[in-house]
Amino acid sequence: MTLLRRAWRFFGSDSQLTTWGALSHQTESFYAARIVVRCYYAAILFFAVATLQDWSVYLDRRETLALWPVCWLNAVPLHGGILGILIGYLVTAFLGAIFPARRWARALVFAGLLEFAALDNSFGKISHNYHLWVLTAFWLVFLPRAPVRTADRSTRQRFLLIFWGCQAIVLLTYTMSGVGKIGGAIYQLCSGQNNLLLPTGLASIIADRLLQTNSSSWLGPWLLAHPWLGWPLGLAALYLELFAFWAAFRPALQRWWAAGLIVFHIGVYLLMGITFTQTVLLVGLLFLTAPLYGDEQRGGTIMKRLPLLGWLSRKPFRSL
Amino acid sequence: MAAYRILRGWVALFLAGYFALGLATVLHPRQEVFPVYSWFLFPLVPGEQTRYTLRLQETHGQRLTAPLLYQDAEGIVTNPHSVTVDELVQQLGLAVQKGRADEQQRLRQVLEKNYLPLPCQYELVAITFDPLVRWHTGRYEVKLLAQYLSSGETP
Repeated sequence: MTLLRRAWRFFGSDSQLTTWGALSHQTESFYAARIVVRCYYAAILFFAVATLQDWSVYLDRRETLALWPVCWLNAVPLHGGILGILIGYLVTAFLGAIFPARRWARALVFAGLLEFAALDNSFGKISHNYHLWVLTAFWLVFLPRAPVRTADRSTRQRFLLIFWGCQAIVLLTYTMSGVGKIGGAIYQLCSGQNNLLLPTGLASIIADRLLQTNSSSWLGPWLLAHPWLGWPLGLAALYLELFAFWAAFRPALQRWWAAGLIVFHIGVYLLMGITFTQTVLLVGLLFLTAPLYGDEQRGGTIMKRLPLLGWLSRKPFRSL
Repeated sequence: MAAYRILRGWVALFLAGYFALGLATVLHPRQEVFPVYSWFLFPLVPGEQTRYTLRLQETHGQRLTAPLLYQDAEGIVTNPHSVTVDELVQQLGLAVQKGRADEQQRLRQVLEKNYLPLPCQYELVAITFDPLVRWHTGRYEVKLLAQYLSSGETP
């Protein structure tokens, strides 16, 4: 446990209400998190219903490169197997939206979502729209039974911990992406190549992405005409991604970090034409509502809690 | 509180495990074991590079007036800008370069049955370019790697 405490201290900030502190306001946080969980399952139902219009596309497929969760498709008639996954996804999503407090319903939602996401990615390319939903649906299976009036302090605490686990895994994936980018940039910098830390780095990525499939985007061509404008944007995106995991330990930052990540996704769409709508909804649900913090957020305190920048901003004042 | 502490340990283990396994998937041929992924999206800035693409010669049994890259075949294929097709073609290109016949066959089946207007005749080509140069000048070099008929034959 000492290791866990050390990790918590490393990611947390000494000048803030910590997650532990936030959890002490647990009744309020518990109510908010409980509502977010219900909305989460309603959102999955929305996705399942929205997928109805694509059923014919899936059913027209005549060959797959099946991922492991749907490898059984190779042993059954493909059309029937795909239909079974689609119906299963819709039915389990419906059950989850009606009975979000029941573990069996949440387990079925996880299974349905896992199968559907695997099917969606079994035609040659793995896209990452549903990964975070699958991972969070897995964690939510372990929510304790917590009736709103009778849940005791320990149950509420476990409920919030599972909820926090969902937040943490989402933010961790952004940090992993940031680690990849910073690692790649250092490697290319040392090799004397163009890299993300240079003014033309982002422009090269955008040009490559648009040329790959001869696609277009709203602002990509404009940025390619003014590549130096991509420099601060690239660095800001790198900061947001790399330090995202810190926000899991600093609840006061969560709403603003989520807003930043959503702006980042909007920017990616405008520049590269890549959509992450499912992820944006999940980030909004888990963080914009800031269930582990509440509404008391002031600009100055937010600044102090920013990883690296908060420390840098305090440094000059310390020396006075 | 014991149950809470145990649960907290599991959460920490899961996060640490996902981080470690996710980074380890970089070593996997497909760079991912769904849903575990490194999340290394655009980690490197592309310089001069070689990518693979399809060049269509005949679609629905009719010869095209001039060979056409798949991504330029607006109105001929359902979605010329498909990133899935692009990814499949990259895998096919690597399979051809490494002489993996079974994998080539499997990838061609997926491409032809799901994404190509049958019957068709097409080529696999390698194009070499620098993204910024190609964007501004349209310049790239093409090299023919293989020719295919959708019936599974190689002309």
